[in-house]
Amino acid sequence: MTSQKLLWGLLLTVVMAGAAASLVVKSWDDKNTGELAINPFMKGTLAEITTSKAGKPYVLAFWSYNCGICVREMEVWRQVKKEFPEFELVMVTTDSIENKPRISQVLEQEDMQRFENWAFSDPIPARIRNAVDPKWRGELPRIHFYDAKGAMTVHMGMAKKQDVLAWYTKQETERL
Amino acid sequence: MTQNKFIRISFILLAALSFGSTTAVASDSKKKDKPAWDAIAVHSCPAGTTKPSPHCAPTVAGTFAEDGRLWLAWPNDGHVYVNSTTDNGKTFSTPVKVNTQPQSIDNNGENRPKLAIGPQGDIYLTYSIHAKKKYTGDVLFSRSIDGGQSFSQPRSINDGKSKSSLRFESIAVADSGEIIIVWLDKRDLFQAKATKTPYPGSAIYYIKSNDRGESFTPNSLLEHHTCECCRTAIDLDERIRPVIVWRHIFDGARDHALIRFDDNGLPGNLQRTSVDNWAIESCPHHGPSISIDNNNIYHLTWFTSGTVRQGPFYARSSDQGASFDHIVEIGADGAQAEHPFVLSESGIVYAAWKDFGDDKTRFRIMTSSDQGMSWSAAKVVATSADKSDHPLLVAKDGRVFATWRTADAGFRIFDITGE
Repeated sequence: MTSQKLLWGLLLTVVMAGAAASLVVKSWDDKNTGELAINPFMKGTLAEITTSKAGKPYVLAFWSYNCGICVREMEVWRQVKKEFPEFELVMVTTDSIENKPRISQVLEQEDMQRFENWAFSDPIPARIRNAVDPKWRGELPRIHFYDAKGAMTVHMGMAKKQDVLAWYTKQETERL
Repeated sequence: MTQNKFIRISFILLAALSFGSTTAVASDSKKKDKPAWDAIAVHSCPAGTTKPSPHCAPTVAGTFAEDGRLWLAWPNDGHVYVNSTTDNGKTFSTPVKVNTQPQSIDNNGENRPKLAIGPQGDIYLTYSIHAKKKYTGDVLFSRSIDGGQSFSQPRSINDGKSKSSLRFESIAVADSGEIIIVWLDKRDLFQAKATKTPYPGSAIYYIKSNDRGESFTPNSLLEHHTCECCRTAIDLDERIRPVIVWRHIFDGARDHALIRFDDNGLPGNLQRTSVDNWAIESCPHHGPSISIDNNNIYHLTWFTSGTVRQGPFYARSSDQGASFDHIVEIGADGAQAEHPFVLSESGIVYAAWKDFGDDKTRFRIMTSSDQGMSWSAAKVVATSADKSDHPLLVAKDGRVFATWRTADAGFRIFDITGE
């Protein structure tokens, strides 16, 4: 690509993104911004997610762009998804949804757009953490494994690929 | 257009711009050499204040000078500013912008620009920036030797001998004027990676200066295998010997370690401050705090979620860190107690933290008048329904102040002496 073409492309992207952005001024937290969909995660959201997903196994992973280990862990999720296209993952960043550009940047760089994405949306993150688990003070990664019956196991720290694969295979076997 | 709306629209346009440039770079060079993170996040000002002001900064760190002036360092849109107050925050001096070119400054509660004052009134500033490569950083140093009127161009404390990433620095000045800076450093990790050798965590390094920050000793290793993402802490034994505390990795357990420098200015043996047994590969973003009193009792606060104990804790050492006792959970009567900070001043030990109660964030304190053997009930200093910084304490001549920046009320200083 010549530098001139690149410049025009860049300009067009900026203009288009700017035009799209100007339409959504009133709904900054709205997921329909035309950019990567990131839903606001509030204190009642976990309960809503678990209700809506009842009956199937899935993983919910808390992460942050300030957590290098969390970003390294994304490779695990991509690999599991590759082996099991049905694998369902809910990503929740504890970064404020106000920092959506940076959150999106990381998710896109890490090729994580294909998963369901949420971001903390509360000026007091402790309010959300307290609803998720009163013992949790924000350490990451934090992973919730939900089985088809809705029972949940928490794993603190980076997930290992073989553990996730073993867990998922077990879930699938039990469903048959 | 209201100012709020203007900020919001500018931010969205900025976001659009960053998306544009990301796309362009990504298509050509894949994931290599991404532009540094935009550190520019929205930080609203409370009513009646305008930027740049500590009221609008995400983090503010204060330190008293000998003359009773409280110096403050705070980031604002890619610049570090320094100003001061002589009336507990009613009025502030005109802020001085330290770095002329905007930088991506680490400005979360765990890693913030911070100050230390030299015996001749020098003001020393350190702060971390995000480097171009993801999850790497650099620590910069600047000083003012004209009473805060001007600051030197910030320079990296990395002596350039190895490719590295520096973050989570702490700075202190001994009564002799000797400056010490410690920080978490990834040079050994990078080297190990190059030779495919396992290397858990980061390392902790230090430098010293005996010429008011004109020059520093070479980057020196303090210890290998520290946790990567928790603030470090430092205080001085008898106002002379640096005592460093950080979250270490002991055979996989991310518990705390302490090193005291000896009379020759060299680091002593590593001491494990507690066995919490927190074996986890994670980023707690929850570092310790240390304060050493006039009787040389070490007061320590930290957070753990190990098998032995879980929560924020206080403990004391009367043998220069060799053993800690009188362990007390902080804020056990509330929810979500976090980021404890400890300060001893004129015979009273103060512990501060924030928690979640009455649907608000509460800045709480407790005190001990017997050197940490027993504690008062916890009190609430202030509350906020909005975003807030970590709680901090500063002291001068027996008076102790809690400083707190919240998005709704701005930056506030509370006199909590003897509370």
